[in-house]
Amino acid sequence: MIGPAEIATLYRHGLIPPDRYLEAVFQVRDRAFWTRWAQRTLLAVGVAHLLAAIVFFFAYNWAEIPAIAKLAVPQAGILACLAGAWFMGLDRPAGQAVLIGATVLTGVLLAVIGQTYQTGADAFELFLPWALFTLPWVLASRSAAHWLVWLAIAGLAAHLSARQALAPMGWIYGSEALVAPGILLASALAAREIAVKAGNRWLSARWTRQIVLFPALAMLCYVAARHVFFWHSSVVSLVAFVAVAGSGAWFYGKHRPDLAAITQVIGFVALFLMAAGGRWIFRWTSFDNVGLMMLGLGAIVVFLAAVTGGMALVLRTVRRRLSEATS
Amino acid sequence: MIDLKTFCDAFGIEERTASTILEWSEGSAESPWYMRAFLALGAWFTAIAILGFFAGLIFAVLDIGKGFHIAMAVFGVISFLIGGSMHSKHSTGGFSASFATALASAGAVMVAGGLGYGAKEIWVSVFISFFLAILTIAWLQTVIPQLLMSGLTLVLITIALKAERIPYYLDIAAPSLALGVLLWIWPPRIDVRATAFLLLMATPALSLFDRWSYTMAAVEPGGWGARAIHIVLILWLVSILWRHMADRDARIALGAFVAVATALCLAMPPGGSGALVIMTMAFVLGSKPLALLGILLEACFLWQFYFDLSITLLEKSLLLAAIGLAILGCWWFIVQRRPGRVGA
Repeated sequence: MIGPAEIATLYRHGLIPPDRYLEAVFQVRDRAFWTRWAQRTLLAVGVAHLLAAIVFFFAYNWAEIPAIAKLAVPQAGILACLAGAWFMGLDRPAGQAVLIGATVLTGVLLAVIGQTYQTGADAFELFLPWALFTLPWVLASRSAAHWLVWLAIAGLAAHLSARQALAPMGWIYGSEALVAPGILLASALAAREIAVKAGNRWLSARWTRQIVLFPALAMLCYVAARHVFFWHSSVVSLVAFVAVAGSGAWFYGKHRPDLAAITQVIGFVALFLMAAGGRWIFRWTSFDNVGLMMLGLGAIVVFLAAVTGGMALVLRTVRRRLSEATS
Repeated sequence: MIDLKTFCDAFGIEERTASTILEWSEGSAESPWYMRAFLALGAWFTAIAILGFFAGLIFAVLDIGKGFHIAMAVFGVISFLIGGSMHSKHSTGGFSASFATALASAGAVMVAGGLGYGAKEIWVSVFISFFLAILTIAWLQTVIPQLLMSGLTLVLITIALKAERIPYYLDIAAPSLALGVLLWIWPPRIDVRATAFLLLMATPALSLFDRWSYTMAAVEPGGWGARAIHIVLILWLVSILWRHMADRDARIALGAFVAVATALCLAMPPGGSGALVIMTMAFVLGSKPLALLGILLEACFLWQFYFDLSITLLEKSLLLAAIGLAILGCWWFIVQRRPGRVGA
């Protein structure tokens, strides 16, 4: 099968005449996929608008509305969403979208409870129960979009818990708060791989892997590089990044070959190496001595170019091996 | 999606030739976009380090104070030429290719910066960087140097528009998106996808940048010209789809899309209408990366649109509910007309 990328390559090599380029694109364009894409985008935008309307309605905090009504409306909304999902069926996008609505309304309900009773709770005390209460619906809906919405809530819960509870208790440094959502996303990815292997096709689309792996690696790479730069955090961030990147390289390189995933792992490892190596060379560079300064600056240039070049070579080798393995 | 043989038969291409080209491209220069993104990032960091090295050389070693910009331009030309010739020989190498890309990019920054500073005119920098970008496209014909050079030109144009406090800068920048669309829809034989991608991004990026910077508060940003260009582009893209979609239901859906898209273009910030153009083009070309980019930008501008509305939260809530119901109504209408395809 050939796709738009192959058409572009053939066109650049002069095999397709310019006046037939678009015709060629339409020959390989997966019309059913793009029709589905357009319809699901429309559904997602519509549902997002309605949910945002409900959130804004309660954020307005209408004084005239009695407390009982404020609490009853989101609860009624949740029940209506659950009934709608039951009625429409969870194997259809509409039923799944309605269940996502129930998940969002649960957060609204928890916020209204906090607003009405002035509980004084920290934000993480809203997000944690929100993530916990809605997990069964995510599993029931078997929708990748629902899973992503839930991951956003759970990731925020992990970050806020680390920042507002673990850091003040002295268990972690404040700068390490991003390690928690990073590990949570990496664990969610591991769960996804197990679920897919067990035959759960609703998570098998490849984008569900990339969209979770990227923020997990980005967060962990950031805190690990920060650790190397400033040294005012524990080694936890470094260990977390090495562990996740190492497991990712092993899993997506050998066990379940995936070029996009392994590229992300290699790319973030290279970025981390650039930060760490650059910092280390900079540390030994003396700005009082012109010769040593130029030596240090030159060494940084060579080091960064070597890491980028090394990344290019490793990526090319991995790509060739994966291509050979699949063919 | 069709197989290579069917495609070749339909277009009168020899299958063996096509297959050889695709195999060669798979194993050599044609790496996927996400790989190039990481490599471009690495080359860009190296270029910054090279800039630091040359700054140290000029100020600390050669001790050039007055006239440093001339030295910068001279070193820049040397760096660009060495980097370019290295890259043309070793474009697929590891260290040499990335070092050459960084050297050429740093050289371009130094030439453009040095001469622009000397002339006390940022447009000189823009002109030189534009010239070097064209030279890079024609000479090197690889994606990463092109991405960095074209990116430098667009960044300098943005800085120039901001620094000179030019009114209606969003309208001035808008034709770049049209040029980007044209390069995607009618591509030349030379690979200019990197430049085309950056041209697509220019107006949305400027619109976002505009929101985050407060230096232009007194200058009229414009936007209606940009919106008009975006509406024309959407109509043109839809006309391409119209020609390729013969069935009545698809054409009704396209008509509805034109109405909704025009309304959205008029209501949203120009970056939002630009993002809608990118989404429409992704749909036409069947490009998933462009579709993802368009969706992310659109989400960002929709958020900005509702955030900036000077109405109460209750009024926003009612507006969101009305628009949400209208969109869901459209969705339901389309779904009902195509029961076989939609529920899946």
